[in-house]
Amino acid sequence: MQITVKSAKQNLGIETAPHIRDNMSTPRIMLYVIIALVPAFITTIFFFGFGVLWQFVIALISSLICEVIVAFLRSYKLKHHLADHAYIVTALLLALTLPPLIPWYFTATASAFAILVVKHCFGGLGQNIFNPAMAGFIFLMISAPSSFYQTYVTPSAYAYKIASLDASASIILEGRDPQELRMQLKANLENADIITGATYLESIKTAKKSGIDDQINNIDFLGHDFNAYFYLALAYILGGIFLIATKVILFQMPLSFLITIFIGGYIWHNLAPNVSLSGIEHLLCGGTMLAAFFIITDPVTNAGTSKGRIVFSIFCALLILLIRVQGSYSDSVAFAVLLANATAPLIDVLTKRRSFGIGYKKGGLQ
Amino acid sequence: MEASKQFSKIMQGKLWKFFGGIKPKELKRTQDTPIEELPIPALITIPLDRHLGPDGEILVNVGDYVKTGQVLTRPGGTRYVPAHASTSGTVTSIAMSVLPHPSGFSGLCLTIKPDNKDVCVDFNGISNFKEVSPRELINIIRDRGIEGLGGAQFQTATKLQAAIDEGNVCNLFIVNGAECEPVATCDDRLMQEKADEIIQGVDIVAHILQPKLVLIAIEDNKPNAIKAMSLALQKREDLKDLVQIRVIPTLYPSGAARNLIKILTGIEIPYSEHTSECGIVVDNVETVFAIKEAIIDGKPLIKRVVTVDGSSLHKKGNALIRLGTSVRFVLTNYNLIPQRKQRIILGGPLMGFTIPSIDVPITKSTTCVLAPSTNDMEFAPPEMNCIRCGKCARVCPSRLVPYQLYAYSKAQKHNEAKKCGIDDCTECGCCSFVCPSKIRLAAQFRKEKAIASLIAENQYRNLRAKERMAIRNERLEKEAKEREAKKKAALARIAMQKNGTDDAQLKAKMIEEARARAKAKREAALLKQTETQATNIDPVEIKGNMLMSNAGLRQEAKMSIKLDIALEADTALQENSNIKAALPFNLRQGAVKKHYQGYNATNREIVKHTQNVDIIEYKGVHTAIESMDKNVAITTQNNILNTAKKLPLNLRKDKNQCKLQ
Repeated sequence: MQITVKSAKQNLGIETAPHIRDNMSTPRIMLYVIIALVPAFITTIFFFGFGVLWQFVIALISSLICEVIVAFLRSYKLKHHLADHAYIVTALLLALTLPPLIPWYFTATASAFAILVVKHCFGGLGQNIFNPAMAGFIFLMISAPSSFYQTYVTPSAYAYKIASLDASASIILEGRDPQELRMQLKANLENADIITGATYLESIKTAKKSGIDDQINNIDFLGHDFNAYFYLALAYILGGIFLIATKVILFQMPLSFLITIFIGGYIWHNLAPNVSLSGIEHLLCGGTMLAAFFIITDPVTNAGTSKGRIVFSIFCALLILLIRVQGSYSDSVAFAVLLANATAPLIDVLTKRRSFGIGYKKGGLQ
Repeated sequence: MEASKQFSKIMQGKLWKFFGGIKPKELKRTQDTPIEELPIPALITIPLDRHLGPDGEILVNVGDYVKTGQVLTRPGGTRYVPAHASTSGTVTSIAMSVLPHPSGFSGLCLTIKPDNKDVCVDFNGISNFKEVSPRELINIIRDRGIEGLGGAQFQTATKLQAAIDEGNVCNLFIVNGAECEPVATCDDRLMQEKADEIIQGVDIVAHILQPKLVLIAIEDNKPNAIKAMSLALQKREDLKDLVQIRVIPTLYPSGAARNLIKILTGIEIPYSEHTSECGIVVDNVETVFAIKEAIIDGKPLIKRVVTVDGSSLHKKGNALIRLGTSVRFVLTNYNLIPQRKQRIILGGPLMGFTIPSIDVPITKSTTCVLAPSTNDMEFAPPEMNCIRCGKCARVCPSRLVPYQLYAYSKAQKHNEAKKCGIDDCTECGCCSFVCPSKIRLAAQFRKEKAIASLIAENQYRNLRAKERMAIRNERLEKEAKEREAKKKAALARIAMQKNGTDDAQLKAKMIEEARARAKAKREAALLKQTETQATNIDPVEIKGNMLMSNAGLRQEAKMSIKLDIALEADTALQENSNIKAALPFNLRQGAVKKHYQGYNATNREIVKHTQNVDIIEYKGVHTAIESMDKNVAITTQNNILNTAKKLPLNLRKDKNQCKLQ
């Protein structure tokens, strides 16, 4: 470079092209995701009680502390480091997936694991291989299975009245036995005896394993006991549509994901009704909807190009089906997502884009 | 020839889509401000690096008076075009000065102090270009300095030449009026105001290329330009079948040649191929207009339309600016009220660059001069981490995956970057535009490309060095072998001497042979003497000396003749002395004197002759040129050229005038 003294004195602004930029920014993307999660969050509180809110607060504080530690260790500017709201999204997703009544130290550990190990050990935002929220969820699920299953609640309408702020706080923060509250919530249902486990998915799985699934089959998702799943799915779809409208996510991803799950589930159910759930149950139960719009669409941990992302979605959906039906855990979204994350680089290579001008014949236009 | 299926689709007006692209805010605020011509500035600076080439020559000197449109340089090779004075005035300097480049490089520039009279050279236009052959028209286009005015500044004549070279047939000529870059409206205004002239230009290019179809592509955000162009086209009955106006959707970067070809024909031409070799030629509207000016009016390219815009300016508009006008002059004319850290951008907001100094000239590649305020265009926010959102991959018109490329480039993995297709990157800036983390992708790619070319150059140099090394080693080996052989021979000789068999016989034989050789030589020398004395000196023989009117050179010539004679004499003497080796020293001296006395007479005569020949030859050149005896003129001119390099500067100028006559 050879800037003459004369020119340097003119004190003009120097900047690389392009000089105009799109309005969309990373903090804004994260903000949109947070906004899109609000309806689902409210619905979850309505059906699962205020435990979810407590979990969110705990996860947020924990992840914030972790981010500050990381910023300090890597000598980043704190303001700039916290400008992306990715840790809020992680906290929110953790709150939505963890059992609502799990003690606070578990949540704090899970979120610390997600932020410190899964995200920042790999190089920070954008460098992580695995989805932080899902990894944190699985970390807890594997390391503390008993408390994990004992704190799950059965969704029921107006649960927030029973599991109020105080009631859930006493369990989560003070460590009281959650059994009482769980029973209360379950009693809220009309046919409480159908559900043997905490959730419908868990119950039907045990039922199918033991071969007595007549009672629990053909349930009405619009009825009193099971409409929680329906409304929750609706809330996730609402948020998803918002994200699609704001061009944060590709509509092809959730679409191909849901279609694969539905068709796959439907076929498997017809082939072996004693083993698999029906297509619609696959769609509404567990974390399918959450995964479709908020987990698999995480840009960092999936393939790069549009084509690769669709392949990723379909692969993830197939994994969910397989683990859900054949695996021992009741829900499989988190496992499937992590497995698919691991294959994302391979998908990237396999779906390499053809370069410009391939198929061009010499002489061009005739 | 029957048109193919693809071609008939194109004829019917089918439009294709290219991959990616963005839709930035158009910001075309100067769409309705007419083009106004700026006054003559106080100083004109013309960068010469694109007008010289390897063996180029500057035709003017400091202090010379130049007229508007006068040719300033004679470029070496056909890749460069000559520079023209954009106004009349005095050449004040030919020196290094700052170029319009983002880094503020300096280069050789020619500065003219205008006299504000704008005295033009005579422009000889061709009224009926249809009678002129395409080749000649292309030469005229080159001589008038026409280069692509869309921003890339590719030489137009070369492009046209490549399209009609042997083996190539031009099927489609596309006039690029897309102007996809936001803010820029210069092409738009030109189409609105000079539609008829542009159509005339299209006619000329169509005459050169003989395409089956001419398409004028205009983006649909320029309704006035579309209207004006179709009106102008309707007036020309003869072009109705050939030329079509194609309205294309507004999408950046549809104005890039390959993307425009994809939109109009559905063909993707790889970046490794030239478009003109594929039977498709794309030219900017302003270039076509310049071609019309060059052919019909005979004007060289000395002005161009530039959009001047930005919130820091109190006046906005399109200006017809003389090439070489400084950016400072333009901004002053448009009332710049600078901010703190005011950015001045040459080119559009997506591909233009900020300049470190405003004392740089406007060149043929300048489409816009922007002086944005921070309300207009914000300063680049700090970069954040890439979240691999894939937006860049979805907008890249070259079908690349920019975030991957960026990662490789940042990690200095140049080979991987190359594999990812860094060469296909057009630096259009789409990826940087959409990036939510505000990463300067395009800037990194620009850097990566520069590094790649540096690496390639280094490799080439290495290769050359290795070659040289190999040659040297070979030479050394050969020399060593020769030395060995010599040594062997010498050893053998010594051995033979020691043996001493027929030594005396051999010696006698050798002496005899030497004597015979010397005798022959002496006779030859004598013969030569008599010849030089006797012959009437042929003027053709001493033609090499004819132009040495310079006294010093003539002296040199004389001396050389003398020297020759002396040498001959010396050699003769030496031979004599070889034979009669016992001759005493003083006698030998006397012999030299004798020789000189003998030759001096002839010497004077030769000099006389050369003088006469000088005069005669000079007259001959002029008479030959006057009488247009081509052969004689060319041969004599060639002789002049041969000697030209040795001649001093003032003589060379004479030669140029002579050539121009």
